Parts: sequence; structure tokens; C-alpha cells
Amino acid sequence: MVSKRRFAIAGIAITLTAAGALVAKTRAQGNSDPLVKISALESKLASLEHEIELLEDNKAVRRLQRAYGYYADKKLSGEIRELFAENATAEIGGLGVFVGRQRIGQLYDFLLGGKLENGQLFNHMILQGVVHVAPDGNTAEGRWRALIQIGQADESATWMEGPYENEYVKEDGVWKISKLHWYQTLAAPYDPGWAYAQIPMDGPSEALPPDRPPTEVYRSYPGAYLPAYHYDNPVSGRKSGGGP
Amino acid sequence: MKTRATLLAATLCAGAMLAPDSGAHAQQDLEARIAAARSRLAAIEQRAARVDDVDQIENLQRSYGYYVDKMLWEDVLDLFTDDATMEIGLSGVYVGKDSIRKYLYSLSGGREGPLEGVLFNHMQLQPVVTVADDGASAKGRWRALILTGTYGEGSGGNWGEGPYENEYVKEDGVWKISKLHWYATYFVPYEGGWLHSSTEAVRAYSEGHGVTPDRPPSEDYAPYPAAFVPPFHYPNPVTGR
Repeated sequence: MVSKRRFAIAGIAITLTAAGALVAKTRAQGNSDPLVKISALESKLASLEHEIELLEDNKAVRRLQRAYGYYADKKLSGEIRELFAENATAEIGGLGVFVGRQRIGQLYDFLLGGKLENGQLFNHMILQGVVHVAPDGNTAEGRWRALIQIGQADESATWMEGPYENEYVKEDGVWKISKLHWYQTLAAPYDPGWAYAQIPMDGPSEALPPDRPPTEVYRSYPGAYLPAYHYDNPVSGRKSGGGP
Repeated sequence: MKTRATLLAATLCAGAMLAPDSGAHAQQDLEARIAAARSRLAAIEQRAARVDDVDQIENLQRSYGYYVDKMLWEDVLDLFTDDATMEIGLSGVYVGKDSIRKYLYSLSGGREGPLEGVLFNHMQLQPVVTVADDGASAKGRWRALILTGTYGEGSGGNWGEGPYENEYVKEDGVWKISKLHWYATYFVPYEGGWLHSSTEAVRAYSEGHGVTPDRPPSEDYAPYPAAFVPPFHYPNPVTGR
């Protein structure tokens, strides 16, 4: 009797062990245990949430930079100032680097000179965005170009053009400009145009000295200058402008 | 021995009795996680739909520009809702597709399609598109950079520029233009460019020929050299004001 019972107990133990092994095996395969399935789904969801956030971030950065242009059109320097992060930098043409939102506000007041008055044209078309959001979704970089039409009615009409290499930061879910750098390619009077005339780029102004000197010293058109790209060649992956 | 066997049996029974209880907990936990996953998935789907909406609206408005370039008025009209409104510069407001059709054809002497010797480029640039939370309507600020001209007529052509504040609706899953409003910043001859700008040139470009708008211009403003700030449909993207 005793032996029989012992065998029976041993038999139960073996059966339990086998069942446990089977369960473990099935769990590892992940094809029937609901817990494994839901865990896999949850991790896919997390990756989709991150992906959709990066798409939204890219759109938000484009919106920010385009809104900047519409404000510049109308000389709304107060609105522009608000688009910058507290410790941002701004560098426009050869004027040098302005550090912090307050100094940046002064720079735009200086450049825009109060609200748009009758007789003034200040068009800033913001075009051709190449925007890269960092994989963590906290910062971004963007190359853009401004096509600018400045006018004083019946007195002057001027073309300007050049690229930006800007940086952005997301603070409390809101994208802001953390670094703005506009390179002047060209300034020329509309008449007779850029084949016959050019307006040289200004250096730092005595009326509004910058916090730091220009980061790059160059001559605008007809000078040839290559503002560095923040991105590699999107097809070859080689450094942009790296030559043969 | 008997006692040990009984103890073992009791333990197994107790285990068997406990099992349904912990299983119920596991089941409850699982269902909560499934419900949470469902709601996360729904949120992702909605956010993806909004991203997609913006892309579709941008394509819609850019398509408008490419059709206008070539005066393909029937293609332009297809982009509008039946009760849409259209207002270009100082044209006044045309209400409904039939009215808009008359206006558009009046700009090209009643013909459709590109005309020999005529340039009518309308670049659609710098979109700021805002989709309503319910995904059923949207607004967009854009700008047009315009190059027009008639070859060999002694004029070097014209430049035009100005922003749109447009509205869109989604009908049966398709985005359409429900309101198109272009504010003329300027329309000037190529010679001299924006050195001299006049309201008359904006009128000549934007007013229909031999057609009457359904409503007068919705806003009383003059183009450059007057300073005018067409209102923004969106708050400052950082301050929200």
C-alpha cells in the first residue's frame, strides 16, 4: 500500500512538472498565452506612440518657422520674440550673435523698427524646410530659406535671399526656436537686379552691439559662401558639401 | 503515511481551490490591460488621422495652385464644396460653385486651359494648417507668389503676392475648400517691381470681367503701400495668445 501511494504521489509530481514545462514552453513561444500577447501589443503601442509624436513634432516645428515668417512680414517683433526659448541665440547676416530672449527682442525691434507703417513692404517668404527631429523628440534642426522683398513705396525696392540653419527645443510640449542663424546669400536693388548691383552685408552695428561676434565671417553675393548643412546627403549618407 | 498522504491531498485540493481565484485576478488584470491598449490605439489612430488630414489639405491647396497656373477651371471647381465662397483681392465674394465658375471663366475670356503667350503662375507657399479637434473642418494660412504676363505686349509681366486665409471641410472623407480668401499685398508691373504699387493694378488682376460678385469685399482694406495685417486664424504657436 505504501509503495503504491508513493508511486501515485510521484506520478502526480511528474505530471505537474510536465504541465509546468509545457506552460513555460508555450509562454516562450508567445502564441497562446494572452499575457505574452498583450505585452507584445503594449510594446508595439509604445513604439507607435513615439512614432506619431515625432511626426507631430516635425509638423509643429514647420508651423513654428512659417508663423515666424508671417509675423516678420508685418513687423510683429513682439510675436517673434515669443517664439524663442529663454536662452536662445539669434544671428542674422553679419550682425553678430544675440543671446537670450530679451536681447533677441532688442535685435528684432532694431531690425523691424516698430510696426508696419503705410508705405512699407517687409515680405519674408519662409520656404523649403528640411526638418529633422532628434530620435528622443526633444530637439530638432531645420534648414530653410527666406525670399525677402523689402520696399519703401516710390523710393526703393529690394531683393534679399538666403538660408537659415536653425535649432529648436521642445519645452513642456511646446516647440520653440533655440537657435536662429540666417545667412545672407544676396541683397540687391530690384532695379537693376542682381546681375548689375549688390548691397554688401552689414557687420555688427554700433547702435546695437551683439553679445558675441559673428560665428562666421563671409562675404555675401557676389562672394561665394557655403553655409554648412546640418544633415548628411539623404541618399548617400555622405557629409553634405563634402566634395568628390 | 496515511496522514502524509491526506496532507498532500489536502494541499493539492487547496491549490485547486485557490487556482480559480488567482485566475480570476489574472483575467481581470488582462482585461484592464486590453481596455487600456484599446484606448491607446484609438488615440494613436486619431493623431495619425490629424497628421494625414494636414498632408491632404496641403496637397489640396497646392493642387489648386497648379490648376490655376494652367487655368484648368473645371479642375479648380472640383476642389470646392457646392456652397463654397471665393474672394480674390478686391473681387468681392462669389458664393457657390455656379458663381465661382462664372467668375473664373471671366478671367480668361470664357476659355479653359492654358493660353498661348499667357503666363499665370500661382505658387502656393508657407502653409500653416490647423485641423479642428473633430477632424471635420480646418483652416489654413498660405501665401501666393504670382507671376503673370502676356508675351510681346510691351509689358514685362507682373508680380503679385499676398496671404490666404482659407477654410476646408471633409465631406465623405474627402477634404474640399469651403472658403478661399486671398488678400492682395501687392500686384505690380515687372518694371520697377514693388517700387510703385497701386490699388488699380490689384483691381485689374482680381476683379471678374462682366460678372458681379454675390457680396461686396468682406474686408475694407487697400493693398501696399497701405499697411494691412490680414488676421491670423491661429494664436501665437508658443504663447497660445
